[in-house]
Amino acid sequence: MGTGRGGRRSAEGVGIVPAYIASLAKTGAQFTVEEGETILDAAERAGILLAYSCRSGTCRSCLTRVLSGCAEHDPEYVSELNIDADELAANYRLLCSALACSDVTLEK
Amino acid sequence: MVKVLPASRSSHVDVRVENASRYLKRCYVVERQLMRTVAAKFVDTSQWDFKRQLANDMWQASRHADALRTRILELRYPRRDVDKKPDPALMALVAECAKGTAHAEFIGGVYGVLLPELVRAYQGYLSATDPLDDAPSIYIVRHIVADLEMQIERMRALADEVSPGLFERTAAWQGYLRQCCAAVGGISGLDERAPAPADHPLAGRPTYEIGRSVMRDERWRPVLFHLPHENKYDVEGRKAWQRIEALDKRVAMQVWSAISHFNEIWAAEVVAASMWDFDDQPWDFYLDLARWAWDETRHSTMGYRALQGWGWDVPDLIPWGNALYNALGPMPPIQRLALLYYYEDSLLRAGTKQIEIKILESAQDDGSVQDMDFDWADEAIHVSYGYTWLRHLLGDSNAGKEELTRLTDDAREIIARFVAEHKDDPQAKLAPYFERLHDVIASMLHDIPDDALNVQWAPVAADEEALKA
Repeated sequence: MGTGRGGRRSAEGVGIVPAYIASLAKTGAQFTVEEGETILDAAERAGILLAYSCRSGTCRSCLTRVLSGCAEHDPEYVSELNIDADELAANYRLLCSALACSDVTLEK
Repeated sequence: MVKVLPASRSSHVDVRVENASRYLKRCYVVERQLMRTVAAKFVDTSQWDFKRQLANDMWQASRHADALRTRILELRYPRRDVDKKPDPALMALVAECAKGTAHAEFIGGVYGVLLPELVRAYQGYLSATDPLDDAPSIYIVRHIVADLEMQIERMRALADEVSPGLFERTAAWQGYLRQCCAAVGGISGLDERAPAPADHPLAGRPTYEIGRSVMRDERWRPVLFHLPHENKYDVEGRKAWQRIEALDKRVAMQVWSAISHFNEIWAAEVVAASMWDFDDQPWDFYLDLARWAWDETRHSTMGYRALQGWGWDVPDLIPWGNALYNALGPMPPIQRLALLYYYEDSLLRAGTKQIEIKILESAQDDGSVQDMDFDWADEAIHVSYGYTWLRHLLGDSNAGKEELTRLTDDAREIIARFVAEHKDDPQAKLAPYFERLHDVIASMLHDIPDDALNVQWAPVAADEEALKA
């Protein structure tokens, strides 16, 4: 379950689908990230312009440091992403392929 | 004595997996080496129409080589050998083609001799192999033949249009190359071999070397830069551009994006030169760079098409610079590639393409929106190529990353020095272009509803910091 602040009813009408709040440190903008939604898709849905290009984790245009909270790359495609181990260790993520697992603050 | 059934059918003589793969390997070697050679000659060729066609055909050669290579490996050809041990005589044949002067002899030699010889070799293969047993090869080879026949037809038509008599004028060179081809037994190597034309008057030229500086098509006046953000010293050029911006930021973006696209040819030249300069890289390196160089040429053509679409005399009105390639020319090839990657990566990370598309949408310029959108998709592939291959070349380590940063910083400084050294050069002045362009643009404007576009845009001057020096 998420924080309860941004949850929504599931399609089946049972339970609450988790949602997290993503915050951009430089602009102060905030938006909700639904479960299974990439952070980039969530920003777009909220009308927030983030730089991206390939949407597949290969061009690195959306590479961003996560300042706090948890964001992980979609495990199904993680082996295809152009990101180094040391970048991962430094909490960088490719927003087009990253899912929130808690509220997050991004270096944007 | 033993007992057997009669043969179920009469088989073509000598077509077995082993010699099929050997035959196709010869074609692969020629396509691959031709691809690299055409890439280099693309850099050397200033004539715009030929240059575009060479880029297209170079990319198609990369697709042919890739399809052949895949098939050769299916035919039990050892993976460790597929990119090695090319027939030296075939390599020498393509190297001889490269010695033809750009653009006439080279085009005459390739499209008058080498490609027709390749077609003949492929047709020989199609007529010899079995349509059922070797169906995957036949599918590939038939498509390659169709491509090559189209390439020859288009280049001949282009020559008739822009350089009438090119093939007739280069008949001696073509005759020499035909003798070279006969001396290796044709591309297939199965023809009777003629003596090498060692005493031919055109034999014995020095080994081809790619040019380190480029010229633009002689229809354009020589100019170093193409837009004001490249040269901070050109104050008058910047003022003249600001008059265009004052017409409307949408108008400025329409013109900016077209001029910028048109001048992307320098990026194609950097990548194509890398295909020649690096001669021992994995096959995928060449496949990716061939696509990259062709894409950048397409982008340049997009810009040219847009500028022509407004009915403008493009050579007269539009600056087509060569400073970026020429300033980079003396650098090691990896440094040129590093700088190009830096520029493209910076552009995408800044979200510049996204913003430009929004402004073009606001201008209701569907053609420019479409061009920019496809350009953006291509550029995302290119930064992935750059990231992948620079890591390969420099090492996937912190030391490699540091070296990439050092190469890029040095290259930016070299560009900044080049700009400073040419600050008083008349060819660095863009005001004469933009003053005339302003009047042409102003006479064409029409009204559309104001959508209150509120987007801030600034060109990504990737070397801005270095330019401050």
